Formats: sequence, structure tokens, C-alpha cells
Amino acid sequence: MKLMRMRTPRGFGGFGLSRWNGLEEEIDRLFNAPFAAFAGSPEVAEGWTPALDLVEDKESFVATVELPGLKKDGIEVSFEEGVLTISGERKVEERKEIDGVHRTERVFGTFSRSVRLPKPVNEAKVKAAYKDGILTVSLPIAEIAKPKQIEVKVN
Amino acid sequence: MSAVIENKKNSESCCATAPAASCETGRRQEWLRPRVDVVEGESAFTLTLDVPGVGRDSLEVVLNDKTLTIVGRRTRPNDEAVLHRESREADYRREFTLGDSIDGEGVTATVRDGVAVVTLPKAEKVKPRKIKIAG
Repeated sequence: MKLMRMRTPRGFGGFGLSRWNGLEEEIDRLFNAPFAAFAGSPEVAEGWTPALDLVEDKESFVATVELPGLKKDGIEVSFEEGVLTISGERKVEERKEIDGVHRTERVFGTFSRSVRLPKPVNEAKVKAAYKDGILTVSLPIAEIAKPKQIEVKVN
Repeated sequence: MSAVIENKKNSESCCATAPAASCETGRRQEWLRPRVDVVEGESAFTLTLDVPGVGRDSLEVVLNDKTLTIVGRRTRPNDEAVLHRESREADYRREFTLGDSIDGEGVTATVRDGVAVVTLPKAEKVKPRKIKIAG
């Protein structure tokens, strides 16, 4: 399994794609959602698992995480030993003049997502941007990892 | 909560009562139900929806008679190079029926950082009114 929460850092390894990755995520979501809704108060939700996508193009990896309603200083991005970690906290919004809360499905609290990148990247050039509730981290693939074309001379 | 009731069936799929623009393909469409908080204040109800990836130009809020439809469209990354994916393909959609206690004319919406906020003001008749003491 290549993607997991920081609290269980073991098991990073192969980068094979598996249908179970998605299932695991779905189970997490199913467990988070009803509890948060029944609790009636978002504070009760222990944390959440925002969706993470990873794309590779010729020049770089691009990781995107769905983080609606975060503040920039509530997001932390780190890269260490080939593992990108995005963590932070979504704080509960203050509500004024409340007569009643009829539905609370949104989840708040801390989160942490990590992904091991399958190729070395240029750490100095890792960039992150936050727009419309989506964090995008681009990680340029290191030169040594790119396939080099070698001209073969035939005598 | 009779003021704001979800039309659950219509939120999940299909688009019989959707705004025309969200039904252009004419076929059944799967939607993603965004998570919503519904809070009642003294003068208005507030719907807050998590719609990451939806900006000002891609949020549609339509009030047709008593039916409030919220649609958020997302642009998806190029699938060819996806190594891992947890986000869903579908666009967001959720539909509610508003009660008579809502002033339909006064409905407003904003979206910021992937969070849409729809404000549904209460009709004058249901707002608490301070009665002036005569004499």
C-alpha cells in the first residue's frame, strides 16, 4: 500500500496500483460521515481523510488534496526521504446568532496524508499552491531520474 | 425542519428537475452529494457546502419555485498520468425544497476556498417581531 496516514508509517513499499486503495479510503469516509452527522457537533469528529490524487507528467509529480475551507497557515507541506506529507487542521467555524443546527455533515479537525514518490525529486523546487479549496503540490522529477537518451554511434 | 428539506432522490442522480445547463447531455448523470451544514439564525437559514475545486464561475445556484438546486462543476486532471486517485469524477449536486417561511427573492450565495454558502432569509411573517407597546 503506498498511501497511508502518518500514524501508521510502516508498509510503504511497492507502488503497485490496487483497487483496495480506493476501498480503504471509502471505508474511512463511511466511518467518518455518519458519526459526524449523528454527533450533532463537528468537534466530536476525530479527524478526517481528505482525498488525495497523484499525477505524473514528464517533468514532475503533481499531488492534489481536497481541503475545502482551510486557511493557508492551517496547511503544512513537508518532504522527507522521498515521502510527501500534507497535514494540518480544519478549525470549526465560529457561529453567531444560532437558533438551531439542523444538519452537520462537514468534518473538521486534524488530518495528515502521506505519499511516497516512486522517483527522486528536486526537493529545492517543490512548490505548493492553494486555490478553491484544493492544495496542489508540484514536485519536479530530479534530473538523474529522467530517462536519458544516448546516441549510439555505429561504425 | 420544514423550512429546508432535501430532495434526496434528485440529489443523487438523474436530473429531471435540474437546471437545463446541467442536463445538456440528456442522459442520466451521476452526481456527488456535497456535505452540507444547515444552520438556522434569527433572520435566515444558512447552507454551507464543501465543494473543493469549485470556484465562482463553476457554481450554479438555481431557485425554481420552491426547489433550490446547487450544482458545482469541477475540472479534472488529465487521466493518462494518474498514479493514484481518491477524488471523484462527478460534479457536485444537491437539491432542497424550501418551505413557505423562506423569502425566495432574498436568496444569496457565495463560494470561497471550495466552500459554498447559501443564505436563505426568512420571510417577514416568520421573523421575530418586537411589538411596540401602545399607550
